[in-house]
Amino acid sequence: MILFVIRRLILIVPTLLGLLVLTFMMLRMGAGDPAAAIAGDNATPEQIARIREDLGLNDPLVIQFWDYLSHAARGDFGVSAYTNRAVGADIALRLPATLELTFFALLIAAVFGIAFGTLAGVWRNSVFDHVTRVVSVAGLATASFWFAIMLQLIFSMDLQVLPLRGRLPTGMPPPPFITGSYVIDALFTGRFETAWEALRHIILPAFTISLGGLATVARFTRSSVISSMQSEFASYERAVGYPERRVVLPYVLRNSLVTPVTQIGLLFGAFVSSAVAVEAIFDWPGLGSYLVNAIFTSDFQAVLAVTLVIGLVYGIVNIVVDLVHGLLDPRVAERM
Amino acid sequence: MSEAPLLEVRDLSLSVKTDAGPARILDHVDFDIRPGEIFGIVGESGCGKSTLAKTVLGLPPRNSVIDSGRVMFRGENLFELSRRQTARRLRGGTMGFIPQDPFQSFNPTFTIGKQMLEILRWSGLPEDPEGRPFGRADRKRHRDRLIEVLSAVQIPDPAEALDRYPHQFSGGQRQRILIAGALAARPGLILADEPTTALDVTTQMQILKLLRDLAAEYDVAMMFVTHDFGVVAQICDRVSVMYAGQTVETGTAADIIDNPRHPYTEKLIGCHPERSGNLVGIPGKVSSPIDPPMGCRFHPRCALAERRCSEVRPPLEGPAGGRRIACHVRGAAS
Repeated sequence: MILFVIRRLILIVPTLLGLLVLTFMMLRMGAGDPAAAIAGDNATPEQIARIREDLGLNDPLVIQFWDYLSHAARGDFGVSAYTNRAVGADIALRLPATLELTFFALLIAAVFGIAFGTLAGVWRNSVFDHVTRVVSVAGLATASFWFAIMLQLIFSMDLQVLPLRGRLPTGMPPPPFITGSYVIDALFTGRFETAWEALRHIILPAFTISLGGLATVARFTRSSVISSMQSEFASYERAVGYPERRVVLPYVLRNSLVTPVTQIGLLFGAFVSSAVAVEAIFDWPGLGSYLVNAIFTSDFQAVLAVTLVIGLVYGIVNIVVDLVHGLLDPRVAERM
Repeated sequence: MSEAPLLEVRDLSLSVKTDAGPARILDHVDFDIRPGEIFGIVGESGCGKSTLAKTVLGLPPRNSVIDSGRVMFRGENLFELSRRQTARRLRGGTMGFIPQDPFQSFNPTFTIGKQMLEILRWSGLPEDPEGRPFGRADRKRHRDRLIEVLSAVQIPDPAEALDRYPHQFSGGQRQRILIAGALAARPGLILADEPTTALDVTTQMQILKLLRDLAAEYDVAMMFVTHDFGVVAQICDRVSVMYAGQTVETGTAADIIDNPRHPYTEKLIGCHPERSGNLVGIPGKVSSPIDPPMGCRFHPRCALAERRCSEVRPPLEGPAGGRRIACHVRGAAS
């Protein structure tokens, strides 16, 4: 088990390297000149040329890449052209907000997706099943920015039950940093009012992000529950006297979770990219808005570092997913 | 002969609703199983024998209707019990079940012990009619019982086996564990649905011998569903031959094998290469239950068929509990 984790962690390195090469090439070959962006609108060509020279942009690509890599390996991701601060510091400031948001979205997608999918599978072709199916398809087809605005209109403007934007009400100090999640940190330090406010703030953006994933998880869970319900083992369990609810919980359910759990791991990537738009709408101070700014201002250092960090978290999330597989299925655990 | 039967299946007919109309899966099926005997239900695939076993367990197929008849177990009509009572008192408890496929019948993600404990937990033992509370004491008592039955089926180190997962056992061992599961709640009757079909021949022999010994040792009757007269010869006391949902012949296993009278029985025994010396099939296939042939359901495939065979259904004739046959040509009346 431990060996498995170590092996998988080592495998992340070449993956990230590949990701970095691709992003690096795309940025250097694509439009936008970081030197011009740094120099500003009124710069003379000579100034821009000097900045290019300073940044090493005239060196061959391979040298530039090596330069970047050797700095990055030491934790130095360069300076943002936009914020003028170290990219590493910028990310450290904003990453926790994005992680909190995407993990809450994953949690919502997992809990509700699995619950709805299981019920839809058990009550196959019932009204509940049909309603879930229609809502799932609608959920998959809905644009998240539109959905976000609708949620704001209904819950924040009309009903005024949930806050419109931000992570906490203005003036409320954030809890001491432990995990980076306001909700969890506030709970740990006994600031229940802060925890409650943080939770209220995260509901709408997290739900927006989770919507498409929730629908996917529900669909996958439903079909694997249906096939497990018709399996030989379920029919044996009924024949030797298990009550039906016992057949479903836990026996059918545990067997049906493998596919949706894989799905949840893959969703993390999709959630991060949908966080980009959703963070902007809900004014969530995360990496999404930072990344958008970085792209628009040709802030290459920032783009590269954010890509790298998201890739790393994605890799770790998928190791966790594989470990959960092992917990669910002893045959998988044996091969770890 | 005078002993009261343990299980009486009387005139049982069952239809399944299909898109093409109702399909008669079981048609006036009639037999008795006496305490301690091994009773074979023999027929080709699709003749309704598995449906029969599941119906006796109180699990008729989805969308099915009982058209006539009753199933009496120890004098109680199973169709008059509520679903809950059926589940609690019959399955697991007084009736054990051995499934066909030892590879697919266990849930791969739970230990053997956890799955077997459920059988005892829901078997509706008298001191615990609602199935709960299911305390530590019960668990200990049940665990001891499982170790006992696992030793009876010759699983080495049974206490340790309870904590292992199904895939850590071979097919033969898994079938033994399933047999232990059927014995665990001290049933009076075990329903075995082709329990050796998925196994290789040597393992099959061992399992059959084990079943025979255990049935005698625990004084448990068995309803043994199979398509294989070779298996019948090894294990069954009496046997009922089914064709397309109908009982065509019934009697002692030895008598029927030595002297088959119904043309279908004769053909089915002829299919066995060890007996006939060569491979013979039965031409045609089992008739569709949606639109069965008039008269005797076997007549389209029967070499002896006469005109009345396609017009009038032959009744199952013969002394109750003795040799009975449903055939115009070979029957008692002819």
